[in-house]
Amino acid sequence: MKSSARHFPANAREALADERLQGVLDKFSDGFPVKRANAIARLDEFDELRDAARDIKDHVLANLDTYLKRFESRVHESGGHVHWCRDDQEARTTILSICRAANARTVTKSKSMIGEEIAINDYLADHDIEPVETDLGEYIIQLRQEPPSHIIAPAIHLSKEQVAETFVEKHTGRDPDRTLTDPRVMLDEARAELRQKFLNADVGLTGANMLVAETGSIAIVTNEGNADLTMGLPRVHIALASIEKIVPTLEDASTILRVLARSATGQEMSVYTTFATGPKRTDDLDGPEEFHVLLLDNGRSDLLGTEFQDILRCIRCGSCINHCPVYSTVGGHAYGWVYPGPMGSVLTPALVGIEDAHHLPNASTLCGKCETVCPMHIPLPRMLRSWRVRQVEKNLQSASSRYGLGLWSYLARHPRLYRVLSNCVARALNIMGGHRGKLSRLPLAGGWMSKRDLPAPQGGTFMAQWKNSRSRYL
Amino acid sequence: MTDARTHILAKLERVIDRKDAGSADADSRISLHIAGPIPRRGTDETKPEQTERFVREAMLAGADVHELISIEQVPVTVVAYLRAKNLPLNVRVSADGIFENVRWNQEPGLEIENGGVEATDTASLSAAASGVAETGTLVMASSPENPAMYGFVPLLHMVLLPESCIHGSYEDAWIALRQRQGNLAMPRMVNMITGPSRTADIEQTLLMGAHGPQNLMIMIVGGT
Repeated sequence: MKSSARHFPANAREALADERLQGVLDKFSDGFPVKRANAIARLDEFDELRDAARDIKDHVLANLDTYLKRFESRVHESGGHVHWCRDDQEARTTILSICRAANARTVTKSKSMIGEEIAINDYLADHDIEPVETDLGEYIIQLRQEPPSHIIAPAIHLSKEQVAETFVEKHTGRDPDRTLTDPRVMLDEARAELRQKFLNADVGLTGANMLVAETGSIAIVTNEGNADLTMGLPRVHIALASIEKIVPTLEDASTILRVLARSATGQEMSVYTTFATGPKRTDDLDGPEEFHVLLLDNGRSDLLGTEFQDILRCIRCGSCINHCPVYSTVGGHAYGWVYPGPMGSVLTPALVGIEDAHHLPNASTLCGKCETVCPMHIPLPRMLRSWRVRQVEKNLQSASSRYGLGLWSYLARHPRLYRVLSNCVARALNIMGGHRGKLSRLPLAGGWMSKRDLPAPQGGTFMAQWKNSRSRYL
Repeated sequence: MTDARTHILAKLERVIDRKDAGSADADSRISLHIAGPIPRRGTDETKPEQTERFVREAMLAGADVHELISIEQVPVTVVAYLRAKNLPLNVRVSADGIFENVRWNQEPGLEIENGGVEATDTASLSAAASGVAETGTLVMASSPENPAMYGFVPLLHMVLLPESCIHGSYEDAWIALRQRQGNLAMPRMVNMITGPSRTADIEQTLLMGAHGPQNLMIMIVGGT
């Protein structure tokens, strides 16, 4: 997927003006957070589990090469293949060559953020192989040729009316005058359409939530069961995973599973957690004849040993996104690439370059909610600040914020001047506020003021008041 | 692709900060299977409490659970359930030894077939390796007798779970699985299943039966 992260300000303005999207987003912000809070209230040990989950990933990152080699040899022992890929281009050509060797015409796909990252669908389609998304949300947005707007709920930006329109337009074998208003009927229609695709596919392409070094298994979590049909029915299964997805053992996987679903959808456990190990065995009645795992780096190794290493603990639960006031105001598309919200604002600059994504670390109020809800204790606000520092070092901010900050830093270093000026500004604002005591308009703050009034300063400045009354407090 | 492998591994060796590291560390972690914190609800309960919790959690996750006194009650339970769900009396039954002595012909009209699941199958019945009380999760281990697709292709998946196979936590289920496999590798597919298939992708409306079964029916058989 090509990044449009550099257009974040324009994207965000467009999203704010989109009333339909705003309606959907209003509904979004009381969904997942409430469910998560309920699930956590049921589990006293949640914090203990978070600490343990963080420690597992830290240990893995300190031994990543060793665990990857252990994982690789287990996959070989079970009859599978491992393909190492440095970047998106290598991943795409590897997948294409496996598909070609299998004479594939159609590929079913279960949701994979890495699939989005390497833009595999467009690439396969360009090479005459039809990719079919099977996660319901991904399927809907594939029909609409849109990117996902959330990592676990890719079609969260759409209303059911939009889904209905899309189905009527794209499911051409059906009565075009049928009424589609009930989500149940829409789901049954999609299920029937996709069932045939599952049965006809030559290759199944899945992601992986975890790679288990102990057993050489890939672990995949879904609620629909689409990943299992994707890997179970076609002749070839390809799993796409980035290198940091490793966990040492099934026990470690269990610890992470205990925090994953609760943080994501507020379920105790997602419906299907599948550990797949190697191809079909002798006498098995189903399963793929070939089992391939792609291990993709694509910039992850550059983060090891840097101030951004901790983002590699991310398990893609989406909790930081679900709780982010900025995401719930502008939605996922504004971020312009695969990963939205706080984790995306940290990861995207790392993967596509800060030059292209320098707006994203600013798309945060640094309220800290993301870190509070992160099951892996990822210090997201600290890393957003680190990106802001890089931004300044690389001179990437706009001229106005550069001058503004320059002016402020000059004043901060000249306290007397600062006091005189702030006193004048406070008085001026007080006069402008008039008898209402409120301001509805200010130069340079049009965006902020369009939705809010600013209370006009009353009385003297803080410093003046402090001076007058300090004797009372000291 | 050897090239990419060498490149990635060399780079990792270069950049990893090895404070507490070393391959011996990794190897021992893998062989010792050290468990993390296990919620007390998974460790502190007696066998009957575990069964009770399994039933409760599985039902909360949307499964239908029947507790049977003996395996002889399987055919009548299956037929009653199929009728209640308005499904044809055809069931794809796994060749697991546990079903060997089930007298299906007690129920006239019930059609039983073994073998691989087919696209037209409406209901299946297979045997679980374990049940985990903690979250009401079934652990299905694939084998020639229990093909993984039984749990995904039909609209209704029915599962037989001996009460003796109910464990408190996932960790206990892994211990049981390792014992069962002996020196064999991990079963090709291990499916942890918690309730029936679902989606909330259309305006966050929760709907069952997305791609997998719309109903998950569990029969717990005591005294086995």
